[in-house]
Amino acid sequence: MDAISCKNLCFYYGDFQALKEINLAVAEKRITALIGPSGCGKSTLLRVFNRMNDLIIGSRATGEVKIFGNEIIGGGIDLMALRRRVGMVFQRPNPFPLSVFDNASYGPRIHGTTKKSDLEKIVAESLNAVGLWGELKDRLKQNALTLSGEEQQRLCIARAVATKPDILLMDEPCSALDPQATARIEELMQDLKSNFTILIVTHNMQQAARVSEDCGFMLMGDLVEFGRTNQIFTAPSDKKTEDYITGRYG
Amino acid sequence: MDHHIDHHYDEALTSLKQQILLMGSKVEVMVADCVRALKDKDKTLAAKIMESDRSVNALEVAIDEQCIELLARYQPAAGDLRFITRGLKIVTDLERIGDLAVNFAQRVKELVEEGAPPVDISKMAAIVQKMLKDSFSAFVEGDDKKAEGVFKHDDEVDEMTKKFVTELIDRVAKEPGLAKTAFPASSIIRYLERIADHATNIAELTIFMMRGRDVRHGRSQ
Repeated sequence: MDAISCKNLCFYYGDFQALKEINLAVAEKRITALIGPSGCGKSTLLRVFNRMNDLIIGSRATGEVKIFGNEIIGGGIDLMALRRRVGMVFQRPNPFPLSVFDNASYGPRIHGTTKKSDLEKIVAESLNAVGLWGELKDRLKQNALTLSGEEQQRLCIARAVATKPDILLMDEPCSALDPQATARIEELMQDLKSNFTILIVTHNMQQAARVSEDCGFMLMGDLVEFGRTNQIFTAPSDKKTEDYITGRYG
Repeated sequence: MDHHIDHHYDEALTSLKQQILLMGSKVEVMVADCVRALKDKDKTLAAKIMESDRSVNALEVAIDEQCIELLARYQPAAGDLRFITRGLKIVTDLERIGDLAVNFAQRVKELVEEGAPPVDISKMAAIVQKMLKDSFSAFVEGDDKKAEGVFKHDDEVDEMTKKFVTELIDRVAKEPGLAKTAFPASSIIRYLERIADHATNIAELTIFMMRGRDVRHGRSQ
């Protein structure tokens, strides 16, 4: 079963149509990248999948979007449950001004886990999953804002995986990091994909080429082309994709 | 082709294309001169061909460096990536054709001393020259249809090679005195056959460059 599937998805900010008839299937436990110029709709599309756009007044979606077969567009959707299944990592590391422990255990706590030993286990597992346990196991009470940028972003990924989501949405997760930290986050993504379906939005085409197995190119609200990353970067079938990834203009 | 946002990149790609074009035309001239030197029994022209090889080798090195620099600096993708990586391969084929032309020219010098070749290879030479010209212009013009046209001649050249070599062996067996001209002639036939193979490689690489589909080793399937 596809982790995410869209049929004829349209999205509007008031009168402005940001997404036009998107049809897409994101395969489970793979890394899928969305590329395209600024304003093409890729972050909007990403935020449809955990209904983050609901926070914007006047926005609306039409069409069909399913997460593992369950429709998520329309009323009557348990958004807390949806966002537990579909975690998100943002462009800039945004840990809460709390301790490392409280950050990593935040999600499970608001979803009802209260037993200290359970939370300790979850914190250890999630920090371990992002390669931070060794560094931080003796500093769990340290304020997360004192960590380095890379550690903060890893902690945010740990916070996202702590609720054991099925899908991780990543919106430009490395844009605030240096090349070495970026390489380590990319390596982490490869490690995480055996347990999670990852959908990443990136402006960095080389990053999309390095980390993803499937890739979609978006332009002005259209999903112009979607396919295997190898194919997209060596022999795209649409001229608009070719022009974008080779840096040309018509 | 549409322009790149960075005009330096466009200029670097254009310069690469011009260098490959220059190398290809030098090699084409070398092969044409070989055929002419054989026909005219021209030792001076044969010597000039051997000299030309130096500039072909220098171009191979320069083009390799240009391709590596483009890959390292710009991380090209799609059509540009296919052009540059195929360019790297095509210069190897061109350099080897240059080497074969040098060998051809050496055999011409021997034949000028020993006498005319016992078989007429002018038709075969004309076909091979056309294959080389067509494959290279297909690459430069990005014409995959023209590249496909090269393939049909490859089998024809293979058949001619077999026929000529068998004929030369038979004639030397009957008339051992012909060996002095038959051996160099036989080598020239082999060189032409290998030049045709390189032209076929260039045509295959051109098709990949244009269509993004590798047709090597599977054309007949």
